[in-house]
Amino acid sequence: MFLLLLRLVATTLHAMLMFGLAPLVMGVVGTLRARLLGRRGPPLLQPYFLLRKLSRKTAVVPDNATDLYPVWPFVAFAAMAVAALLVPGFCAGLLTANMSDFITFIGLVTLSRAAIMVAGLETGFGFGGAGAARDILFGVFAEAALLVVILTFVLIAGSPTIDGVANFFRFGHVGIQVSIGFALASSFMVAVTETGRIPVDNPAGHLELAMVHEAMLLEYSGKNLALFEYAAMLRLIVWMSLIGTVFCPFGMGLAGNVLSWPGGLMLWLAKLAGLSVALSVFEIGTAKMRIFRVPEFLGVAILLGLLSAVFLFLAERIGG
Amino acid sequence: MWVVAHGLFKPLLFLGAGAVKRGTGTTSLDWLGGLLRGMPKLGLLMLAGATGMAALPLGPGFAPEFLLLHAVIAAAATGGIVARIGFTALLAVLGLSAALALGAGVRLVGIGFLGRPRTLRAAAAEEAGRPVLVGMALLAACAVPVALLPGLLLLGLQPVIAELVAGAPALPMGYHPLPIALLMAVAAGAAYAVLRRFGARGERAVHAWNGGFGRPPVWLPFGDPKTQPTGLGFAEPVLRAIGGAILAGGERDPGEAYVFTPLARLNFRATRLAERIRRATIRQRLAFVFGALVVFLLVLGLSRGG
Repeated sequence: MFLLLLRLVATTLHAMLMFGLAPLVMGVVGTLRARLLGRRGPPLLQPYFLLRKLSRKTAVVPDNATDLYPVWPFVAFAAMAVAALLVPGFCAGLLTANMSDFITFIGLVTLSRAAIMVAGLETGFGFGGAGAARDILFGVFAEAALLVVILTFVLIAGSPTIDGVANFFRFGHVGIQVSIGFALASSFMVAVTETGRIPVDNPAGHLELAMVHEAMLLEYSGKNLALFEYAAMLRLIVWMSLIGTVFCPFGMGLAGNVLSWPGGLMLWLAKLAGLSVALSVFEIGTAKMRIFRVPEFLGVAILLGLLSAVFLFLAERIGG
Repeated sequence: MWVVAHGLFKPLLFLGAGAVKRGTGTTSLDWLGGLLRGMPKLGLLMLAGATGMAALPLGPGFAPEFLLLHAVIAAAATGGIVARIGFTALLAVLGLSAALALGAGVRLVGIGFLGRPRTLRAAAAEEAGRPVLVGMALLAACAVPVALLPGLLLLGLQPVIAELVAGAPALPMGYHPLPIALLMAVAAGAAYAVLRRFGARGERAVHAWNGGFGRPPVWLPFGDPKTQPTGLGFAEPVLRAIGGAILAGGERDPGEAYVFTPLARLNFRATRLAERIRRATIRQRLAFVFGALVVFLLVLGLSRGG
């Protein structure tokens, strides 16, 4: 009973931190990128200001939108919010640990993306349709790559849940394997695609011809846009937490042990900071790709995923 | 599981397509658009069907997809190395096709039911007849337990599975739609409450911004249909990227290229051969029979004597 209560507290804390810190992570990445480029950049808290500003403005609704127009932002946000609850942050063993199957996670992320795509087609104007069509194209390759990477994790850890994989990588003697290196590279590529960062999509770019994720939100404003923006921030922190949890679970807290929480919390913040730095350095080091080069980029991700599986099989054959 | 889910949402989609054809005279997406305004009930039912087709969570299609993917992962866990690599590649192909199904679902709903009408008949479409709607609603109602309680359904299917694969272990269902639905409802409700409490209330209906383009002229109340994304245009990036290799963008279907054309050629050759035999003269036939007899005796003699 006490244990259950502790896990409940841990889950609540996790949810509060996830939802509270999501804009901050976005702000850190934006500021770091600007500083690395030699600009002063926006304040760290800019995303919070953005959300407040948007939610206080009158929403402008296109006259040819259907009745479902205000529903899509809620679907996009709610699916991403549940995904944020499934991915362990500072500690493993949350109340949602049993539900946190990798495939459920992919499904929720896809549901959120589908809502954004349909929202882009809502008014029937060209930009939204083009953005949605391109997002479908990226999704085709990203999903294939992600599934293959997940196969590697699940087979190494023998558990289909994110929580189980984190626990296994932490306590089991996995050692350094070639296949985990390939899987890391592949999941970085998928994460960059899913969160819409350079080189796949430019979150700060406002050139219509090159937009993907922004193009679908052009007709949204006010509180509806605020929900979409918040979902994008959640997506970034969720992917960072996922990569941090799977590839670097050492020292993570356990929900049943209060004493392990502060260490886990520090470590989680350090992981988020480290990944933010890595993302900003990567972003300023590359240019945005042409749309039709992205499938090649993701094709490499699929190939790396397959290679990681193949190396895993070979290693098992030689070892066993 | 797959069969049950597909048996529910496929008829749903077909019935809906029939109703659309009845209401507008066409099923081509490029002649539709904005149907949700004219046929809201049908549109919502079709949205439910598309959710199943795209295998999105909380839809009826997700649980079978979940089981299938886990089955492939489990299959890749053991066996010979070639088979394991094969299953890994199969998983990649399954991911690709799942994303394509999502694209098809988004295209159906987004191009056909959202957006602006592309023709006058689409603009004037009226709600489908009551029998069709009732039938579709019944199918959708049957799909609800499949979507929300897949574990229970799987338990019911256990005897069938045992019949098909002797000694198959009871499958644990790692997908729990009910808590996920609950959490999603809580998240959406909380967002709604926060926005209602702290956000601005008002909404203003204006002409869509459309990247700064002006209002369409009076004689085109819904704008020029040519400026809207079309069904083909929506599929174009995917076709361009993988069409050449897998989907054979353009006119030629890989099934046609690699199965039907060789079969047709084989048929042609066999016909020509049969025709030649039919047209053979008596002399040629006698020679053929004689030759066959000689070969037969030779084989017989050699096998006896050898």
